[in-house]
Amino acid sequence: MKISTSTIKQTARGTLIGHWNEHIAFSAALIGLELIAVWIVNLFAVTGTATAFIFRIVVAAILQVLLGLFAAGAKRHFLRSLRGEASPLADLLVPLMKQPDRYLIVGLVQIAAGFLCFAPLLLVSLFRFPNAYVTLAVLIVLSIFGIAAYAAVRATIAPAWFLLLDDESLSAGAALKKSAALMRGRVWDLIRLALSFIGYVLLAFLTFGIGFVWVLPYYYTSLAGFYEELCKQI
Amino acid sequence: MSEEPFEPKQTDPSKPQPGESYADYLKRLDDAKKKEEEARDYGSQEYWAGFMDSGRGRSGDPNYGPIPEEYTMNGMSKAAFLCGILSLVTIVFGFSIFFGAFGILFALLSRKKKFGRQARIALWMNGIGVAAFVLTVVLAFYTLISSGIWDTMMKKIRGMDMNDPNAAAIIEQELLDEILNKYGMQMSGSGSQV
Repeated sequence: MKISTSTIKQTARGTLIGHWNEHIAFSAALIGLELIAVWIVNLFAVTGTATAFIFRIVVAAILQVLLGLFAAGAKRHFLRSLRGEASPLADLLVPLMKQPDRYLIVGLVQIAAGFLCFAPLLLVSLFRFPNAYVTLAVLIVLSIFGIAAYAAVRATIAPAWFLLLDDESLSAGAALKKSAALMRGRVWDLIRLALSFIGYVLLAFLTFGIGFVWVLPYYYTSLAGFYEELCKQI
Repeated sequence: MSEEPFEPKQTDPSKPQPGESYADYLKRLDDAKKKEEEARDYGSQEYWAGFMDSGRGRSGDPNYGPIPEEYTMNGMSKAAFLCGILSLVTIVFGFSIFFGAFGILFALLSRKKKFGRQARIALWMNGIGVAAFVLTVVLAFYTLISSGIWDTMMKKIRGMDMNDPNAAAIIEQELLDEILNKYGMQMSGSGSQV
């Protein structure tokens, strides 16, 4: 059965209205951590050597995996809010305190999948084709392929985070398998849900990024709503 | 001919009817009130438009049922409205895009099913603010291109040393000089520069 984007977003807005203050605290904390990560990555400026470039990518990947722990904490908060449960700011640290290895593995899988999806693009960009138009066409095609493949992988993995939050006895591998099974035939529904936030993201950029403090809770609550809908349909 | 005792017919339903016990009278009143409540279409736009215009009752009055979303206000719609005002006010300073984007975002987040009246007005005000900014930018580019300043500047930029740390400042100054050379007379307005 198809999952309605508008119903999920409507439920999410209903959950958020009247409780924005607590949700803003979570998204502000998450954005703050993200900015710190960007600052750290920028400390390792590219000096033109391949080693420096690779080192920078590795640092960025490690930080992304670590940030995944806090993002999982935020997901826990928004899932609990959707269920009408109280969720203090300390929930942000729960995945870090309780079996962080499970979340780290899922984060690593996500990063590795991203790298694999964009690997052809990275490899081709190292070569020079005789014709500039051919180069451009190949790069565009590979970029589209990379984005589409990464979106599909991210959508397949997305419920795994919530499964880990819901069941503390579940291993990372089992969560990934269950997530893939849950998402069979519903990947496009989640991609459609994510795409419906493009307008909000553009608006948030126009506010010099400050708007993300409000967009993030809406997005995460919608993701939690999607997961709840998935669970209902099992 | 037997004469029946005179008993006045009670037509006012709000008063006890002839032969009606007091308990029945209270029950009847209660039933009538319930029926009236059920028949009242709280959800209709007409009812609430009339209700709000008449100034009766107050928000949250249990005697009047829930106020439909169309007429409710929340923090988000209030913030959107405020941003709308700021967006319109700051059109001349070029900040309307910032407040306008915030306002549209807040207005979109303020709705549950559909936009409230305040949010809808805010959406329009913020939309006008954003559109005004976009129009200003488009007109500025059109003016630069049609006047030839754009081409002149591009030629100058191509001939510049981009490794110079002052390159951006030099380009900015050159652009300002070009605009003043082209439109200086008109910008002065008084016609004193002859």
